[in-house]
Amino acid sequence: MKILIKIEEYLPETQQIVVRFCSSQSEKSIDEIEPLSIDLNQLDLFDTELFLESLTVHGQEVIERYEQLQYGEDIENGPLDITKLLGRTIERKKFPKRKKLISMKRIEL
Amino acid sequence: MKYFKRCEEFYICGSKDKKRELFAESKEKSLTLFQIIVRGKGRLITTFDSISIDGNKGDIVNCKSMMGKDRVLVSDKDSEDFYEVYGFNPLDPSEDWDAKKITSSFRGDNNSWIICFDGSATINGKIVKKFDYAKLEDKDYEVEVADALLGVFTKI
Repeated sequence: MKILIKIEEYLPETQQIVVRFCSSQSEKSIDEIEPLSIDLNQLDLFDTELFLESLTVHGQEVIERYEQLQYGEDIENGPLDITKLLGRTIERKKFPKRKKLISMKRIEL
Repeated sequence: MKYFKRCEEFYICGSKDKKRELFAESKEKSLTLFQIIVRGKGRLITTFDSISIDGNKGDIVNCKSMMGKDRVLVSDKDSEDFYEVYGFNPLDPSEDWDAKKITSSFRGDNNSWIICFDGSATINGKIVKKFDYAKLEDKDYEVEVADALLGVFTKI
C-alpha cells in the first residue's frame, strides 16, 4: 500500500500544516478526504526527506485508524449458499501477493 | 512463488522457483506432514537442532519430525533449473496422516485421498491429470502410473 499526502495549507504563525492523507487503494480521491491540522513540532524538519518520512508515519497511523473503523463479518465455513452471503459486508485477510492458488480439481474414481 | 489450496480434509502448499532458493517457515506455520518433490532436489533443515531430510525428484518425504519447528528448505544448486515441491498439511494440526507413493494397483479405503502431483495416470479406466484429487473408497483401484507422481494420504 502506498500513502498519498497532500499539504493544503502552511500556517507559519501557528506552526501547523493542514494535510490530507489517503491510501493509494482508496476509492475516494484525496480531495474528498477530510483534512487534518498537524503541529510542526510533531514532525522532523531537518530536510525534505525526513519531513516527508515523519509525515508518512503520521499518515499511516491515520489511515490505519480509519481502516480499523471499516470492518465486516467473519463468515464460518460450510456448504456454499451464495444467497446467504448476499448484502453482507464480509471481512477477509488479503491473499498474499507472492502466493497463488493451486488449480486442484476434485474428481470421482 | 508459493502456492496454496485448501481441500476438504487437508491443504496443499507448494513452492516452485529457480534453483538455489531458500524457503523459511516459522514454527507456528510449520504443519507440513509430507513433502512431495516434483522437480529438483533439496534439503529440509530445522533451525535449533540437527534434523535434516534430503529429498529427490519423485519422493514423498515424511517430515513429521519437523512439525512445529522452524524449518528451512534449501534447494540444491546442482539440481534442475527449476524445482517444484508441495506439502501435505492437515487442517487440524492434531490429526495424524500416513502417506505412500503409488506405483501400481492398490486397495483403497474410506479414510484416504489420492492426489496426482505431476504427469498423468489411468485409474480404473479414467485419466487422472496433474492436480486432480479424489476421495477413495473401500475398493480396488487399477492403476497405470505412466509418468504420474501419485500419492495416497490416509487419516490415521
